[in-house]
Order: sequence, then structure tokens, then C-alpha cells
Amino acid sequence: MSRTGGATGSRATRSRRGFDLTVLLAVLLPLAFVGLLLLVQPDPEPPTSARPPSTDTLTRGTLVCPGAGSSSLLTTAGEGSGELQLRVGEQERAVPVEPGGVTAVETREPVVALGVDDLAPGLAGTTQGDASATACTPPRSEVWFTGVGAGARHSSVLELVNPDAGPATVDVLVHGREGLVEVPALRGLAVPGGGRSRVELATAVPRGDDLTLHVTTTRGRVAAHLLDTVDQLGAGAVSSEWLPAQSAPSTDNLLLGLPGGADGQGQRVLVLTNPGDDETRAALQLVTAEAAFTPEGVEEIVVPPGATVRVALNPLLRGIDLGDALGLRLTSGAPLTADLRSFIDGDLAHVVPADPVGSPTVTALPEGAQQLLLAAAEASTARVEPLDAQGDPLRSREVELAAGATAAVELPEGAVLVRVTPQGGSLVGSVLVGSPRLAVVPLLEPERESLVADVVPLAR
Amino acid sequence: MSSAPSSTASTTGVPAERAARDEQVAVLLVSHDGARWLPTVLEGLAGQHGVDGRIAAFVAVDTGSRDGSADLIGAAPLAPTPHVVETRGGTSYPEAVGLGLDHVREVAPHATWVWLLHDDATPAPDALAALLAQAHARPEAALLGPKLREWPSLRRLLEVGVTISGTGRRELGLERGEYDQGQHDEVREVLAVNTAGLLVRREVLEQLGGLDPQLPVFGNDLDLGWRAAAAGHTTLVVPRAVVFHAEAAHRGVRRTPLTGRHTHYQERRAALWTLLANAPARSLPLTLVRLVLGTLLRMLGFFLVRSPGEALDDLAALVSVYSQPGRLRAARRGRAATRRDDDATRARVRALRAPWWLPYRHGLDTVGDVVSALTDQASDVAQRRRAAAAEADPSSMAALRLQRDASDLDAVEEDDEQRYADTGVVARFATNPVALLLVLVVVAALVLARPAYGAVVGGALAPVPEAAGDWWALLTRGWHPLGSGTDVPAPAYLLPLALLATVVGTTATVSALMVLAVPLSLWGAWRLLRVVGRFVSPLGAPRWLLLAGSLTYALVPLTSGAWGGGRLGLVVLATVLPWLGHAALGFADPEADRRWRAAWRSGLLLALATAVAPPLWFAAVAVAVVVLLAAAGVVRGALRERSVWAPPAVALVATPVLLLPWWLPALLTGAGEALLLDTGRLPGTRVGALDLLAGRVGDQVAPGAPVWLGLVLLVLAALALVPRATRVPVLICWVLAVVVAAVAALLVRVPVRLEALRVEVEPGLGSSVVLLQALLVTAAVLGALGAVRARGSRPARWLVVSLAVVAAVPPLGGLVWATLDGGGVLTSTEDGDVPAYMVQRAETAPERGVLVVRGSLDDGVGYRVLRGDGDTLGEDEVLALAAEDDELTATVRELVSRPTPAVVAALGEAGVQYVVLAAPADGRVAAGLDASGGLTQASADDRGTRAWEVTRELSAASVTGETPWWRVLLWVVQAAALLVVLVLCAPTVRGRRDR
Repeated sequence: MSRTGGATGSRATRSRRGFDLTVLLAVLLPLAFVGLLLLVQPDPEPPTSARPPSTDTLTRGTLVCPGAGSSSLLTTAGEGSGELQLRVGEQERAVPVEPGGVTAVETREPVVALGVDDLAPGLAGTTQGDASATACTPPRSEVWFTGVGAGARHSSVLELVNPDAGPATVDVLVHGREGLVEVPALRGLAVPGGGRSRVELATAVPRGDDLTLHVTTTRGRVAAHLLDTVDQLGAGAVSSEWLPAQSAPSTDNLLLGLPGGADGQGQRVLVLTNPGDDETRAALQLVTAEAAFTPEGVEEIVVPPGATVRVALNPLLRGIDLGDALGLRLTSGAPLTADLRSFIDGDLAHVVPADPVGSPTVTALPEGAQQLLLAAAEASTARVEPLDAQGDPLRSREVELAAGATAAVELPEGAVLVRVTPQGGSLVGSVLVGSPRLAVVPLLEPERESLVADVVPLAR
Repeated sequence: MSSAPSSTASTTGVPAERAARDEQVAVLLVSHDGARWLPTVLEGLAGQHGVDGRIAAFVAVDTGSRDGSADLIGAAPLAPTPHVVETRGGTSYPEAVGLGLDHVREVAPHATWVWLLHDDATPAPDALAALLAQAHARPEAALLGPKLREWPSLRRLLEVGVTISGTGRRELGLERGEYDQGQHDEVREVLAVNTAGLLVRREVLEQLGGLDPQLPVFGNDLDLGWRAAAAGHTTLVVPRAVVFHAEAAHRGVRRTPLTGRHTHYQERRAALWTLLANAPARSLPLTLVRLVLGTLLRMLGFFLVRSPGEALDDLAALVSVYSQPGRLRAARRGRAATRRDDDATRARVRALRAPWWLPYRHGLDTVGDVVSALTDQASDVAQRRRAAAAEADPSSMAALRLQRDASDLDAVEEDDEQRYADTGVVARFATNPVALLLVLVVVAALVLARPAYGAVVGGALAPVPEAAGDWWALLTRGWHPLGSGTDVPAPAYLLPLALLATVVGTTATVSALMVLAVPLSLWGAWRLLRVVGRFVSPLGAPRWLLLAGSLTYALVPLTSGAWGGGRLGLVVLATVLPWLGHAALGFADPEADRRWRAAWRSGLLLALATAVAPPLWFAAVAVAVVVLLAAAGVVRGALRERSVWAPPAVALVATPVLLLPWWLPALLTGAGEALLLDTGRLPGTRVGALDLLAGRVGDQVAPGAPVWLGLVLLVLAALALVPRATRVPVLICWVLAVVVAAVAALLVRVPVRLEALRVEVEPGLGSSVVLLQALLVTAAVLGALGAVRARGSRPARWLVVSLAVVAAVPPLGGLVWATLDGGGVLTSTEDGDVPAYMVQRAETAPERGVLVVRGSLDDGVGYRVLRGDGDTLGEDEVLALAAEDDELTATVRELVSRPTPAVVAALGEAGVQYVVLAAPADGRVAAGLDASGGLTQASADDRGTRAWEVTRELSAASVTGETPWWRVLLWVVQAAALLVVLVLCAPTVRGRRDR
């Protein structure tokens, strides 16, 4: 700016010429200015994408088998063998496990198994006893138990086991007929370190309707199991069965297995819960070895928001030939949880939607295991290897799985273990236990890997 | 200082019956190299009339003159013939007077009076007569002094009696350079009179022991007067007697072995000595302390006005006096012998001394001078340039125009005067729409700044720490116990913040900067545009134009979105920038000294601006280079003169020196990105082409005013190129804008990655936005000025009027927008993830860190470590620029995925006491932490958040570190540089220097 005076001084002479430099500059400079600034195009803000975790081999595996059985059958889907650390009730002990073998632990107490390093991946187990059978599970932060009872005829006991040394806290939400039931006593349930809590629902929520429990662990780790009992007062028939947990509500619930067979005589009750805020309708399909089909004349089931709906199947499917049906499928607009309760010949059994299995799984077979049911959403195959007590394979075979259909594999006599290896996709499966102790044990994918989060420093 | 006849006490020692009329006078002249003045002095002596026969003797003492002074006196036609006593050089004035007195005793034993004269003081013809007449009229008077007038001007008053203030200042009771118009012409009793022309009773002089030889040249008159007063004698000043005095020694015209080169030292030493030797015993301790403190204060003052020599003289004088307690005691004993210890005398001396408040008034005057000089700096640079051009070539266009403009200006001023004649201040204000609007705008700005009153936080603005001490600690430490511990330097802008906060507190500092941003930038822009307007036209820009322009600019912090987004750095930059521009205009001053002052001032302001917005410096360098090259192109050889190119270069170089403890460690610790990034929380927003064109720096949350509002200004600035009269200055603005745009286009190509946050960021362009807005506003105002001043045809006028309406859109639109939607994201508090009790624990020790983990296994996890009171302003930037702690990242990865007791122990070693899993906590991560040994659950504020306490041993080893010595050195260099630049950019206070 220092030359302002001099420059303006000569403008008189300049304007007399035909060509004026200032006019040229007056046009060029703004253009140059805009042109230069248009060069300033910063890279677009990188999208804040999800950073998926990587996986690594599990180094500490925990498996909890519920109490009230007579024995827990422990095995491993992993490679390692060695001493498994157990806590049975108050006692600590160690038992050997090896791939292909089953170790039975006779007790009525819950069993907490801890596998470290080589033994950590692939722990699996089954508990059996008076109340038939159920799968042992690792602690899970959120599970659903659909169709539990809290009355005189139908009552349930929630068992919460804390495998760790520190205390744990559990919140239980109860969905009843009209929706969410306020039960302050079930909020913030404390489970002491290394201990267990039993919640008698008939005491905590005395109600006659079917309920659904949403169990969330807010502090620590807890494995939750539910023992369900039906008491036909006066008639004398009392039967107990473990009710498997569903990990999350789903819009497509496959209930694999019809205890007692399609022609089994007795009561079958379907219980559905809609945890969402909108009413939804569930369509029922029958699943056979060939396909899934919607029986004619069966109305859709309306599930109000938050509510638990109980549907007696016998009147619903009256006049429909169940034929060779192997299970039921429920599709709905909003996620639902489901349970099929069968009371056949005085024997109680539950079927609950199982989680898909994508990796080789082993299941210790309870006494009376008859059939393995497998289903896959996409056409794929699975290798089924039943093993005997010595660990030798019996009649291994490849099973073709058609999309939407269910395959039934008869389990040979003497098999104590079945290894199912999905090939080209994931599948869901159940082991059907026949009379006199009807039960359906879902296949669980053993924990082999731990997720390793992608960790970055934060600005704030 | 009553002139009433004094009590009988004062006449004691003077025989009342003596016939005063016949009293004899001995004239005592002391000379040293005074040939320059002596002829006149001797002439004056010879010309004394009205004293026939009363001069008993002329005694001259020459102290080793080498210019023939002694001969001059000896040959003088005086009656009686002078007796010349020649003595060695280096004889002090008191010694010389003593010698002379001895001689007087010999040659004129009957002389009752001694008339002391200097070789540079010539008496008026009736001086002695007037003195003697007064001595007769007031027989109690023992010392009588004349009125001293300046020689050679002969009209200015030098002294009419003197006294001494509590700080040792020689108080004259006169204005600087006051002309003698008889305004001080009454006979008064005073503490002392100058020895030049002093008529003193010989008896009294001998009784008092003559002049104090400890005071060789200066101040001996004050000491003598004080002693005389203490002894009960009366000193009168007789204004009818006039002596012209050249004050050769004081002005340094004459250098003797006694004065040496340091007249200031001698004067100060004399003042201290006089005070300490004569002060009453009771007040001595207080005086001793006061003089030490006063000296320190004076030294500071001298340093501030760039007079280190005088400051050192002051110190030397103090040391000289205080290191000789023995002599001082002896002097006090001597004075005690002649002192009269009664209350009346003490009260009289007290009354004759300067009042106690006088030093404070002088202090206030000085401050006032400095302030007015500060505010006036560079404001009249345009006028000075014109005057200089006219002076250089009186026949040039510049000179002719200056004349014409001056008459224009006179006409305008006359108009103004007539218009405002007979109206009061209030009436003037009320009838002045621009003033009213200004007040309205400032009030509106203060109201709009509501969100920033009190604590303010949000967007890029982090909360402030509790006390300024935290900022000082951050600034001075070379290692910060933040996060995993880092040696990244604190951001440079913390220094001004800490300085402010030390006075008003941290919260008020940030609040004030935000609240005052608009008023201060309005003020700055007004001043800048006024001077720029005067460059173009001597009448300057009309005030309504200044108002519109400065208001448009002052709203830039708001409309750009910087204010609402908490971009404190850019807000302060917008405030400082017009002042920086104003200072930089000083480079165009015709005087070299003013250009240098502009250099230091611009350097300081540029350093401040660079501290708050680091990339500004690159733009400043580019602008300076282009302007200098252009200047060299227009005026050949302009750059050959060092005082033309060196000041801007100094201003540019001063910035890195002033910010040394920031940028050098930043480069050395791998945080060099700081030099390219805007300040505030990182990562900042990205600025694109449209943002630069429209002047926006906001993000989605606080986007600033609508873009079209900013484009209106761009269009106006482009239209400003149309008026021919102002096209060249507007073109200059555009050239600078192109330079700034080019710098921005280059800067944005530099890839900047924040390793600690694993993000690529854009170099900070916020400073470019503010700079461009300032240039566009200036261009638009200049263009409007050209359009207004051009007396065009009617259609052109209509065009101008319609454009004026458009020009009102940016400021008014900005105001309306700011009123409706200007608050941005600023709040008073920010919710943290960390429960209060953890923060309280964390504040107690650096190893009690809180690890905050956010996210889930599926979507990824982020973490940070909080220490102390959390990441306060400044700390957040240090953390963002620090290198990532890979070890800690690995530990956190293990912790959230597969926690084991070993991982928890590693946390303790990393100085983490608590782990907080922010809501919504991933149940799997929480379950893993619950299951791991070494962590116990801790309470959190809400249900979604989970927290654990690490029960393993905590270690501060990895967090704490030492400050390397060279960082301390950089700090010292910065402090010294800051002090030097502050002193150098202080204005020249003319009056003081010319004293």
C-alpha cells in the first residue's frame, strides 16, 4: 500500500492513452482470485465407518451347566486335551477332557468349567437328569426365556450362575399378557462372586399367564438357565424341563423338532412375545424334510406390542394333517421370541429357536437321543459324525440340506457324541430326545475365538 | 510557601542595627572552559547599575580552563579589578566556592554579601540592584536568588526558586518551556534558589560550611537551601532580578572531568544525597526504602522508553550513595550541628518542600503521555506522507494537492465548527446518527454475546482450567503429564491467555475475548479504514461508510461461524487483524524511526495473530514479499535503503523469535503440524472454495451466516474496481487477496496427519478466511469512497444510491442473522463421561488417570486417558498433536478383548486408576472386564456407563518427565525478546525526550 500516492498521481496521464492497465487488472485479479480459491478443494471428510473386530483364539473359555440335573457331560470341539478346571457348587476340582471323548460329572449342583489356553476354544457340554436334557452355555449378557410360568400349574425357576470372583448384577424384564410387567424385585438382582441365585418366579411374580423373561447382565458375567415345571394338579402328572434361552428376538423363528413326533398326542402350546413397540402378525409354517409350507386356513397370530401371546396349537391346526412335519416356522414383521411347549403323555418339552452354527460343533448326547434335525437357510451340506464311547466314529455321513427344508438324521445306538460340521454355510440344529424323557437340545456353536476390537485413541 | 514576613527566628544571626544600605558585596565567579559565554557574562557584570561602590571585590576562581577563560576574566574592564584565582582542573564547584570565599576574606573583609555567578550565567543590568533592594526590604533574608531565564532564547523561564520532591525530583513549579510573561513575579520564600546569581550573606554561608563538596556540580543549591532553611534562615526568590543561564553542564554542552559523560548519574546522585543527608531522622528509614523502590520503578520506566543508559545511571547513583554510609552519617552529623530543632522550623521546611502527591501526579502525566502517544501512532501516517512529499518537491503535484486539500479540510472543519457551535456534548451526540448507530451496534454486540458470559465451552473451545497457574505450568513445563505423557509444547496462544488470566482469572479471560470480539474488531476496523481512507483522500472516508465497513468486518467472527463454533483462535485473530493492519501501515511512514516503531509493533501483533492462528504467518510473509517487490518495481531503488525493507523483515522475523518455545519444540517433538493448523480442538473443520469466497469457517453444527450473504461482499468488492478514482488502491487490495488465496491454495496441498487420532486433516485455512474478509471489506470501502467522492451525473448517482442499499446488506444481514441464529454450539458446561469423584481423585496425582473407553467390539473402540481436571483449553491440542502411545493402545486392545490380570497390571503401570466404559457400554466388553482379576467395579453416573477401579499398584513413572534445559532456555529467550520488543514498540514520547 505504500505506493498509493504515486500511483494515483499518474492516472491522469494514463487515462489519455487508449489502453488502461488498471482495467485489465480489474478484470484479471478477481478472476485469478476466484480461480485460485477454486483450487482449494479439501478431501471429503472420510466417512466414519465401522471398524470391525479381528478374531483371535480364545484363551479363557467358560461353560456353565445348570443344576438340578443328575450329570453333566463335558467335551470339547477344539484340538487340545488336558485338565479342565471345574467348580461344582463350592468345590473346585479338575477333570480330563479330550477331543472325541465325553467326561461325565455326576452332580445336582451347577457346574462351572474353565478352560485355559489350549482347552479354552471349543468347550461344549450337555446336562441331563430327571428333567431330560439341555445344553450347557457360556455366560451371555442378554438372553430371552419365552413362555415361562409363575403360577400353581405352571411354574419356573430362573437359575443365575456367576462364574467369576466379582459380584454380578442381573436385570430381569417380564413380558406378560398385557405387556411389560413391573417387577421391581427382579431389577438389579445380585449374584455373588462364584455363586448362584435361584429365582422362584411363582414367588417373585405370582401370575397365571405365560410370561417371557428378558435377562440382561448389567454387571459381571452370568449364565442363566430356566427350569420349567408343569404340575397338573390332582392328575398327578408333574414334569420338569429346562427351557433353552433364545439369544435375540427374530423376525424368522425356526422351531426345530416336534417332541413326541407329528402324531404325538397331547397339548402343544405356542408362546410368542413381541418386545417391540408396534403390533405385529406372525405367520405359521410347517417345516418338513422337503420344504416349508403354510397350511391353509390357519390365521396369522396377532402379537400386541410388549405382550406375550399364548396360542394352543391343537385348535389352531385342527383338521390339518401334520403328516411328516419336523418343526414350525414363524415369520413376522417385527422381531419376536418364541417357544413351543409340548406336554405329551405327561412329559414336558420345549422347543426354542436356535442360533445358527457356522463352525464344527460337538454335542454330548444325553440318554435317549434319537434324532438330529438340521436346517439351513441356503442349500448346503453338513457332515454328521456320531462317535461312540471310545471315540470311534459310527456311520458318518454327508447330509444334503435344501433351502428352507429340514433334514432328520437318525442317531445310531451307542453314540455318545455327535460332531456336525457345516460345509458351505451355516445351519441350525437340534437333537431330539425321545420318550420317556422328551427333550429337544439345540446345537450350540462352541466359543473358539475371541473378538479383538479395533482400538484407536480418541480426541475427546 | 508564604511570602509573609517570617518569625523573629529567621532574623537571628543578622545584626538588625547594621545599615543594610551600605552593605558591601563580593562577586564570586567560578569558571571552567567558559570562553564561549564569558564575554557576555563579563559584559553583564560590568553593566550592573544601581550598585555604585557596593561591589567590594570581584573574585574569579578558574578551575583549570584550557580555553583562556582566566585571561578573559583578568582582562575584563571591571571595577574593581578582578582577582583571578587559578586552581587545578577537577576542582568541584563547592571547592571552588570555598577557595573563592577564602580569597574574599582577604581582599574584602567587610563584604557582608557574596554574589555567586557561573561562567554561563549573565545577569541583567539591574539584577544585583534588585537583589540588594530586596535584601534591604526583607532584612531576615539570608539567601536571595534571581529569576533564571533561558539563554540564548532569553524568554523561557528556567527557574523561579526550586524545591525537591520526596523522590528527589527537582521541582520548579513551572510548565515545560514556559514563557516569562510576568506570571511568577512575586517575591516568595522558597526552599532553595540556583547558585547562579545567588546572593548570600557571607556569614551564613560560612556558618553553614559552604556548599557540600559531596555535590560537585548538580544539586548543591538545593542542599544549601535545605540546610539554610533547617538552620532557620530565609531564602527568597526575587523575580525582578533576572539572570540568563545556559545550563551548560546540565544540558551536557560542557563536559568536565566532574560531570563526565553521565550528567544524569550526577544529577540523580545529588538528588539522593540531598534527600538522605537532609531528611529528618524520623523519616530516614522510610526514605531509604522508598528511594530504592523508586529507583527500581524509574529504571523500569527508562527501559520502557528505551533509555537503558539513564536506567543504569539511576542504579549507579543509588549504589554510589548507599555504599557510603560512613560519609552519609558524617554529612548528617554536620547538618545536625547547624539545624534548629524546633517544631516551627521543621514545619517551615516541610511547607517549603514539594507536596507529597506531586510525584504521583508526574507519574500519571507520564502514563497519559504514553497512552496518547500509543493511540496516536500511525494514525496520521497518510498526512505525514503528503507533507513529506510536498517538502521534498514543493512544486510537485503532491504539494499543490496538499494546499488544495488543506483548504478543503479547513472548509469542512469550519462547517463542522459552525454546525456544532454552541451545542453541548450530549446534543452533539444525539444529533449525530453515526455515533448513535455505533453505540447501538456495540450494545447489540454485547447482548448477542450472551452465551459467552461466564464459563463458555463447546465446539472447538475446550473448558478452561480453574486457575491461571495451570496455564503457566503447561507453558513452562517441557513434559506434560497428559495422556501417556508427552513433550509436545503448549500452544503459543496460551501465553497471552495466561497473562490475562493471571489478572482476571481463566473463565473471565475466555469470556472477555469472546464478548469483546465484536466491539474490539469494530474499533480496530474503524481506525484502520479511517487511515486507509485518508491515504486515498485527505478528507478520509465519510463516517457512515466507515461504520458500514467496520461493522461488516466486526461481524466476521460471528457470520463466519468461528464464534458460534467456539473457534477462539479465529475470533481473537479477527479482533487483532485490523490493529495489525493499522500497525503495518506505519511501514509507509516517511520517517525511518516511525517505520522502525511500526516494525516492532507489527512484529508483536503478528506474533499474537500467529499464536492464535499459526498459518497466518505464511500469508504475512507472502504479502510482505509481494508488497516489497511491487514497491521496488514502482519506485526504483526503493529497496536499496535499509530502513525501507528491514522493518517489515524484522516484523516477520520477530514472530518466530517471540514464539520460540512453541514452534521449535513442536518441530523437534514431531508435532510440526501445529504450525499449519488452526488452534482449538482437533480435528478442526474443513474449509472449501465456497467457504473461502463467502468467508465461512463453520461446520454443520455451527455453519455461520448464509453463504449468499458472504457472496454479496465479494460482489461489492469486485464492483469497487469500477470507480476510477480509487481503482489503484482497490487493485492493491485485490492483489493482496490473490496472494492470500495463492497461499491458501498452496497450504491445502500439504498433507497433515494427526498420528495420535489417526486422521488426515486439512491445514488450517481459517486465518485465510478472516484475512480475505478484511481485504474484501477494505476494497469495498475504498471503492465506495471513490464512488462517493466522484461527482458524477444523475444516473451514476442513482446507481451509487442503489449500490449503497446493497452495501448495507452484509452488515445488516449479518446483524439480523446473528440475532436470530448466532449462538452456535456454545454452552456453559460440557457433560463428561467421567464421574466427579474420579476427577477429584485424578486431580490429586498424575498417576490417577481415568481411561475412558467408547464404542463396541463390532464397530471398534476408541479410548483416551484423562488426567487432572480433564483436557482443558490448550491441553487438548497438546494431546491431539502428541504421538500415539502404541503400547497403551495394545494394552487397551487386550483389555477390551481378552483382559487378564497382567493387562490390568500394565494399566496400573501406565498410571490408570479407573476404567470408564462410556454409555452405551458394550456388554461383552463389560463382562470381560468384570471377569478379569485386578479390577473392581466402581460406581458411574448413569446406568449405561460402567466403571472399574484398578486395584493394582499405580505408577507415575511413564507419565511424568523432566523439562530439558534447552526448553527453559527457549523460555528465557522468549521472555527477553518479548521485553525487548515491548520496549522497542513503545511510542516515542517527544516531550519527555526533549526535556
